[in-house]
Amino acid sequence: MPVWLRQKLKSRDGTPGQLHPEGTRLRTGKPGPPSKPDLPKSKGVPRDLDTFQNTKGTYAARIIRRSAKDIHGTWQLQWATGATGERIAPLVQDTNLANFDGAKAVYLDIETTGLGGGVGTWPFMVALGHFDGEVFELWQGFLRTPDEECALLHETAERIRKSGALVSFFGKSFDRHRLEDKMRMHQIEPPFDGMPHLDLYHPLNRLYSRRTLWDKLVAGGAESGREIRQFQPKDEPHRFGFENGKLSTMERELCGLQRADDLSGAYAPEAWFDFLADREHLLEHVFRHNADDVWSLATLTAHLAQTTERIRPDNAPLEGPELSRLLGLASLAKTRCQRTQEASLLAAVEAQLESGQAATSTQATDPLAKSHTPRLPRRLALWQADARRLAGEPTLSEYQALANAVQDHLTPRIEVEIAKLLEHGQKDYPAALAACERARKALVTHAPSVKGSFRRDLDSRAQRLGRKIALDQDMA
Amino acid sequence: MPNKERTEGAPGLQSGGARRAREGREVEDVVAALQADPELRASFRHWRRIPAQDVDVLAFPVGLDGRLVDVLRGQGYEGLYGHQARAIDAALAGRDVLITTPTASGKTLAYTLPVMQKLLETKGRARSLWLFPTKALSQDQSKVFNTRIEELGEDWHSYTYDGDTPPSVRRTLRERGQVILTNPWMLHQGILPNHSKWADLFANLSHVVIDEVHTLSGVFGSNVAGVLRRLRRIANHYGAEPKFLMSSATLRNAQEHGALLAGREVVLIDQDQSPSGERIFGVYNPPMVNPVAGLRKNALEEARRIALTLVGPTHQSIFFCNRRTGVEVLTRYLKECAGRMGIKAEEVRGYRGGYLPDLRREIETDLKEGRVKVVVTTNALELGIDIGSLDVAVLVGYPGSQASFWQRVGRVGRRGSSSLAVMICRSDPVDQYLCAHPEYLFDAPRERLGVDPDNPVILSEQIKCAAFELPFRSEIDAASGDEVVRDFGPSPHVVDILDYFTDESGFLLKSKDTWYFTQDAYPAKDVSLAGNEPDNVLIFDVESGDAIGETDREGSITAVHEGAIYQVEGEIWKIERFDYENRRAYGRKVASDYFTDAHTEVEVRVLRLEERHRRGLVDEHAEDFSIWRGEVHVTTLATLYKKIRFYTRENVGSEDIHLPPEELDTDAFVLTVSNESLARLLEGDDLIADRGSTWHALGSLLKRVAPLFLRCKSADLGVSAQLASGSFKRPALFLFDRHHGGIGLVKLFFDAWDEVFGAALEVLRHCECSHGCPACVGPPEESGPEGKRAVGLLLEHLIEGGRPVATEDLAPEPAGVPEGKPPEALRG
Repeated sequence: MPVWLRQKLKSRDGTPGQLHPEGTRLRTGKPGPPSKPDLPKSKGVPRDLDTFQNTKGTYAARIIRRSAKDIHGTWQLQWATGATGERIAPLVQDTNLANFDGAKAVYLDIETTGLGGGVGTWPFMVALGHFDGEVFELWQGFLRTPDEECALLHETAERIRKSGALVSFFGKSFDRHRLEDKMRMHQIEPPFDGMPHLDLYHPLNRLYSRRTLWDKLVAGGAESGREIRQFQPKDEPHRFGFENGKLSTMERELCGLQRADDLSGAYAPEAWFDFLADREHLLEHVFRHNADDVWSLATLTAHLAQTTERIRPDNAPLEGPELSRLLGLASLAKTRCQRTQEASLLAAVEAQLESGQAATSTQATDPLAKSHTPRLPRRLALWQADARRLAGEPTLSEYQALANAVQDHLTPRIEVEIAKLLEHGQKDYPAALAACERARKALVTHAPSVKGSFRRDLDSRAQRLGRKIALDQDMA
Repeated sequence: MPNKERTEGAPGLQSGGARRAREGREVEDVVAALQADPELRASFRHWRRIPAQDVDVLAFPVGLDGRLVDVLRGQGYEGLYGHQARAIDAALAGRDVLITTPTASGKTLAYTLPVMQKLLETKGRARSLWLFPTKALSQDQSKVFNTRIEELGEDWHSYTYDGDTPPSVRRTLRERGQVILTNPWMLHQGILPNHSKWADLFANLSHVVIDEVHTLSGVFGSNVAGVLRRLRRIANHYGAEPKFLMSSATLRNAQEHGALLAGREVVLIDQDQSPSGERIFGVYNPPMVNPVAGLRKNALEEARRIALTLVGPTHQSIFFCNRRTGVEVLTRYLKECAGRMGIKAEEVRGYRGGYLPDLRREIETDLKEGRVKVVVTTNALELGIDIGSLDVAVLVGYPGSQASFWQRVGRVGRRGSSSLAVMICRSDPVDQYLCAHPEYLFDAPRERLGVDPDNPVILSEQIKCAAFELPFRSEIDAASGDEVVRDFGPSPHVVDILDYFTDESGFLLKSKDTWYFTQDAYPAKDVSLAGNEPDNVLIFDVESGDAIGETDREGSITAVHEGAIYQVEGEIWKIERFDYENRRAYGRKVASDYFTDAHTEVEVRVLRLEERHRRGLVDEHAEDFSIWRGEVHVTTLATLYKKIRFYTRENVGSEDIHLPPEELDTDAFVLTVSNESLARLLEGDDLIADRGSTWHALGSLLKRVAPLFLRCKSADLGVSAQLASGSFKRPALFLFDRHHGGIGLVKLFFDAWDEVFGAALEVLRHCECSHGCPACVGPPEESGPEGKRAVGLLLEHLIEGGRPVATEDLAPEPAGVPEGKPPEALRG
């Protein structure tokens, strides 16, 4: 290369508009990966790789066969074979999973050279696990060179196509697309369309993520911190759900897996790049991390299938925070309009909360503060009243108690419910109109930003009540 | 033509009367009125008539599918024009085609029909990608295309794909849109790096349509040429070999330009065979008000004066300004005097970028349907927005390129009637040159488009993006035995660059003959098609926090240093802080009676010389002058700024600037003149010219006339005039490309040097000022009291007499200079 060209390229290296030497992630300002543990490195091609041949060329894979009875964390792998569509489908709201069978599914996890997407991202490790009688076979396809990609993906597509279903963690949003992109590029027909796909991320988050459940449904916004402290016993940190929805959190809290010397997935790209450049690399740890991921997919599938029964297959109590699980189930019941079930789940939530509160109270030193602690978060109480009302139970007094307890942004909604019950149930129109008036006042003071349709409905209800009262008076 | 009494223009008429008086007045009458007007006629320096072109409509091309012919007949076509038919024939024969006929000659139809025919042949399987320079254009075209498809009775679709396309639609159009209309930016950052999502499109890609390719010049055009190389590589990967159908305004090097974009020879269709009415052109030079200062009357004021005679209720007029503020000012002027022109104030509209889309659509429709009589606009109406044909165009100043000029005048002219275009010249060397040489505008195109996709910087950025999209493969060239990459243009450095990225930058991996992208990154996100944007400096108002402007990296050290006065549309900010690291400057609004003028020291170091033409003195072996082309390193240091009072231009103090120098590696054109020749020329008996001022004035004049021959902005070129160049050991004038690595402008300048120098001389000869003015070499305070004459003598000497000839001798120092002299610092 001419010197002047080298100088030119060098002068461009590292100037703005160039790739950051450490990749895009650091420039986006997002926190970098956890610090890299000091792990032993190896050199050269990873061990135990077998070479295979198919119509597209050669590829390599490591195959690990474990007894299906093996324990991963505190769960047997084979318990996943009990995960049936009947137990799973209601938790995921996916009718395509009605015939799901954990014994026939493949468990998929891939390692890529980046999270950004685009055709330049390599899925350099593709792992598929499946049950083969008494054995759980883990197949870890691996790119020894980039040009083995086509053969490896061809094999991957075949294996997925042959299975009855696919299990992944966040795979609907990530793994599937990375594979699909690369398969299309190699003109391999992707196997995903129509294939039942259980993405564990979504149901597990619905059941166990504090953000989804407690913060959104119960506490609401900035209040959540204070509310949680009121109800949070110290010895049960995840009572309201986990802080995040990562696989590592789920497998630890739900299936008792403690990983030792785990290499964060964020270092996987570097490990492969090091290997390609013939430097010392950490690929052995990537293989292990990836294998643990796949085994966890099996145990988490088993765990999810036990949600409704709330016991483990060995009859021990099911791991995981019962309170958040109940809330999650209640919110599922709500979306499916199963009102009786919703109300009874919420009653169970209430019982759980009270027991927790009792635990908190014993620790409280200030009796005055204790007396001010509300029995239930207001939104939860309102939710419960709504559920019971829709289940057909009498709830007027509950709403009235809620309305009398405190004036806040929920008051207009509560007063409207009272007005409805008074209008249609008791036929007490003046009292209903009074409730409408209270709702209107509360709107002004507590909820000025409430949307127009609510206001219009309220106005027309008040007008109608006015007409009904006038009619009654005429008749009288 | 009916003969009418011409009473219009008489002042004092009431509007109803004016309207009646002007009713039915044709373009011919307007021309007669302008030519008769005692105040105006002297300033019209030139009139030209291009006779009407009456053309027999040809039949439909034989190869054209009968169903398409039926649709066309249904729309009232009896046949196609010759150029359309030839373009379609070539496209149907599988050739790449570039059509460069004028606005409104039916270019769109010429590229639409082959695409539709392909769709018919493949029963809708074929797909095509259409690129437009603006979102509005692609939306217009999508509508037109969908209407045609509907008339064909097929369930095919075209979709626009841009930043506004909702994600829910994206999947549909990726999988099912027969025609995708998008722009170069989306192609670069969205489509190509995700080509597998578009696998079906690429596998069936029959055509790539590119509209208005003359807009693809400079850094942007060079990058787009690289993007198209990537596109072809990807299409080939999926087994497709798309054909290119392109349209453009007229260009000097159209064929080369098309070939550069398509990557192979293209069929050029440049003979316009569409019918047109008679075209009348007038070139108007505002009267000189101060010959010493070279000051002419303001072009915008003159536009208003002409409008009073030219505008009327029977015809539609369009005024083109070069700035948005001009649009607002002139619109207000014309609304005020609408009554005197026989029209209503609401029949005058402004139209420019920044108006809301709904308002724009409304004005476009009103223009098309004749409700608007006068529209004042910028280049916003230059590109193909459909407003129908108007009658009279007024260009307030030359738009900067021949292509733009013809696009603008192409807005007027209906079949069977005459049209008029008037250009008002400003006090600017280019405008004044055109006033003296109107044939420049009407003869063969003179502008060369500067595009260089093999500029090493642009090439390397595009290679980076391309490597992400598909691995690069090399082969061994049978003839030379060298390792070569064949699918990314002719540059011999592709392999070098790939190796550099492998060995030095480390984000490629080479395995056998293939380079793979191995980095956690998405390079297209970091590569801007327009070049150095990420380096631009944003200027903020300290009080409101609003961004008030932007300046490029190179300009920032003189424009937004601490203490600089920064002006936007008459408002004034004083820069309080320049955060050089973070590319931000902060200014406070002030009332200032002075502006600032920063001085720089420019140091140019020659890195490598590539070409030289030399002329010797007649009777000796000694050199007279040489022109050179090569690579240079430019260091620009801002030293101090002067505070200069508005109007009086009195210097009221100066301060130092403390900023790091700007460094630039680029191409340069160099003129060196031997000391003897320069002395002989500038130190004659009756002439005492300041050599430094003369040398500098020559440089700035050349820089300003260069855009006549190369499509660029004057600001794309930098000048450094040195009387004692350290590299050349004699007076050297550097004109350098202000883009890192150069974008081909210097090569064009080198090839056209005599035309540029000749034009500069013509500007001087025709300038009516006495001793130099802003329209030629600049005022005498800058160019020296004898500057105008001295620059003229110098130019005459350079272009008259024998031409310099190419020489292999690329040693910068003249023969006879002792070696080993350390290069001293060079001062501009």
